[in-house]
Amino acid sequence: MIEARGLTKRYGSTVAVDGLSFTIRPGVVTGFLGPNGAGKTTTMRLILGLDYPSAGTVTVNGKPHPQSPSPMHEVGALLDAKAVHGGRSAFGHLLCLAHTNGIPRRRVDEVLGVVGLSGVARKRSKGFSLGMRQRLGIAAALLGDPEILMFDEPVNGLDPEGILWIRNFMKSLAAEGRTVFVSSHLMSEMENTADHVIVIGRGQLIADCTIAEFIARSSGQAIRVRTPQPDALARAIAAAGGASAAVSDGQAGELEVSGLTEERIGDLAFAHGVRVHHLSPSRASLERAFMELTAGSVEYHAGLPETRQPAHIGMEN
Amino acid sequence: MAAATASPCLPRTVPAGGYRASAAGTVRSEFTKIRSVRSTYWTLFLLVAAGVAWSIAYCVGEVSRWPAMSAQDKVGFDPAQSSIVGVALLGQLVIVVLGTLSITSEYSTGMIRTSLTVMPRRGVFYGAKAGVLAAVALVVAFLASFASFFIGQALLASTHVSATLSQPNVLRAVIGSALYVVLCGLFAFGLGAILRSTAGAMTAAYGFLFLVPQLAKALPSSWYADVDRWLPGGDVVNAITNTQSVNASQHLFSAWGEFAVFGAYTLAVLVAGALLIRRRDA
Repeated sequence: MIEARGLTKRYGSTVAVDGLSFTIRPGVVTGFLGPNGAGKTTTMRLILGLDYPSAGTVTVNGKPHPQSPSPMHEVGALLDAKAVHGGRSAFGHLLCLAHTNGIPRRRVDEVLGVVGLSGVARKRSKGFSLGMRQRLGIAAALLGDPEILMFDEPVNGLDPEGILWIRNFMKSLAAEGRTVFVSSHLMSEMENTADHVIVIGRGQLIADCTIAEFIARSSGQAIRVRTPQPDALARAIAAAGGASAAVSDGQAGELEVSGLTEERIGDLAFAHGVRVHHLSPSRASLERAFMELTAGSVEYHAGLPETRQPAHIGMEN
Repeated sequence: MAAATASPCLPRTVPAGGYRASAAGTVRSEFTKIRSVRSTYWTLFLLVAAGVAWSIAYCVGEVSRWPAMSAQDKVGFDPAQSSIVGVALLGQLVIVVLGTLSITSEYSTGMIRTSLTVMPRRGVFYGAKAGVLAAVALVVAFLASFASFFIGQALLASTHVSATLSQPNVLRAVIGSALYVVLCGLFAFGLGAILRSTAGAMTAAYGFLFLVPQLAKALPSSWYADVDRWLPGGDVVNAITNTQSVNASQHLFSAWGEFAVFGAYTLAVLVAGALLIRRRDA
C-alpha cells in the first residue's frame, strides 16, 4: 500500500509534482500514466525517499520508506536499468544489494534464475543488452521478496518477447497479492497489463480509476464496422442517433461509429438487412482517449498546426 | 529463450524474521562492492608497486652517489625517508583515484539510487563506504610502506647507515606514511561526496594536495612561514617522513602536528560530505 497526500516537488520554479494524492492497493497492477515529463519518475523517487518532497507526504505501508527496517522486503524498485556499475558481474551486483539487508547468497542465484540470467551471472554487466539489463534490474527488485514492486517504464527498448515476459510477470506478481506499480507513457501498454490507472499530466492528477472506467469515461468509444453496404448502414446509424464517419485510412466499406454500443449497431444492421463482416471496438480508442486527456498537459508539443484540444469528459482533475 | 516461457512465479523465501537492513550488512555490501570491480585491484597494486619502485630506484641511486657524497650531506642523509617517501608521494596520487571513484562511481553509474533504496539510512551507507575504503587503504598502505622500507634498507646496507625500526622517528615515519595515504583517500572520498563528479573531485583533491602548497610559495616569505604549516598537502609528507632532526623544517609543526592538521581537513571534508548526502536529493 502506497499513499500520497498532497505530494509536491519543486525544482526551482518548475513544479514537477503538484499536489498528488492517491492510494495504490495490493493485489492489482496499477498503471502510472502520463506523457514524458509529467512527473512519473519524480513521483517514484519521492516514494522511495530518494528525493525529498517540497510539500505533502508519501508513505509505504504507513511510514516513509527510509524508516523501513526491511526496505528490500517492503519495496523492490526498478527505476533505471542502466543504473548499474558496468564493471561488476550480474551476480556481484546483486550480492552487493543482498548483503545490505542480510539476504542470503542462494537467494541471488534464485532471482537470477527467475529472470533467466543464470547463464551470464558471472559476466560483467557492461556487455549486457538493454533487455538483459532490464532483467537484471528486475532481479534486483525481486531480491527481498517485496510486497510492493515499482517499475519505471520497464518495457522501454524491449523486443516483443521481452515485453510479453514483463507483462505476464507483473500480472503474476499481482496475482500473488503483491502491489505492482508500473509507469508508462503508452496507454496501449497499460491496456494489456493494468487493472487500475493513475494518469498525471504536468505533475497533476488527471484520473485515478480502473481501466474499464477510464474507457467508459473517455469521450465516447468508437466502434469499427466493416460492411459491403456502408451507405445503408450509415443512414441507419444516423437515424438511430449515432454518429458515423468513413474511415479514410481503412479499407473501403469501413465505418467508425460513436455514440452507439456494439450490440446496438449489430441489431441495427440486422433490422435493416445490412451484412456486417466485422464489428469491434476501435483499437485506437484507448490511446486516443489518453491523448485527449493529457493533450493540455504535454510538456513539449511538436509544432503541429492542428494541436489537439483537451477533451472535457467530466473527469476530476 | 527459455526464460520467456518459464513460470514467472517467484518463490517466497523470506525467513520468519524477515530481511532487515543493518549497518553490518551495509559494511559487507560495501566491501563486496570494492572488491568486485577491477579498478580496485589495479589501483591497489599500483599503490604498492609505485612505493616499492620508488624505494628501489632512490636507494640504488643513493648507494651509487654515497662514495662521492660530502661529509655534511652524509650527516643529513635520511635512509628511512629515502625508502618510504615514495609511498606517500606516489601513494597519494593513486589513492585519490580509489577514494574518489568509491563514491563518484555511484553517481556516474546511477547506482546511488539503488544503493539508497535498499539502504535508505544514508548516514549508515556513507559511513560504511568510508569505513571500508579506509580499512582497505590501511591494509594496502601498510603493506606498501613496510615493504618499501625493508627493501630500501636492504639496498642501503652497503652504506652502513641503513635505518632500523627501533631508531628514533623511523617507525613513526613508516606508519605515518601509510596513514597519510589513508587520509588522502578519505579526503578524496569526502570531496567526491560533495562534488558527485569524478573529474571534479579528483581535480579538487590534486589541487588541494599539490597546487595550493605551490601557490602558497608565491606569498611573501614571512607570510609563507606562517601559512605553510596549515596547508593540507605538500610539506605534510616532508614532516611525516623526515627522521633526521637536522633536516626538520622550522616553520612546520611536528610530524604528528602536521598529520593532525591534514586529519582536521579530512574530517571537515568528510563531515561536509555526510551532511550533503543526507540533505540533498539522491
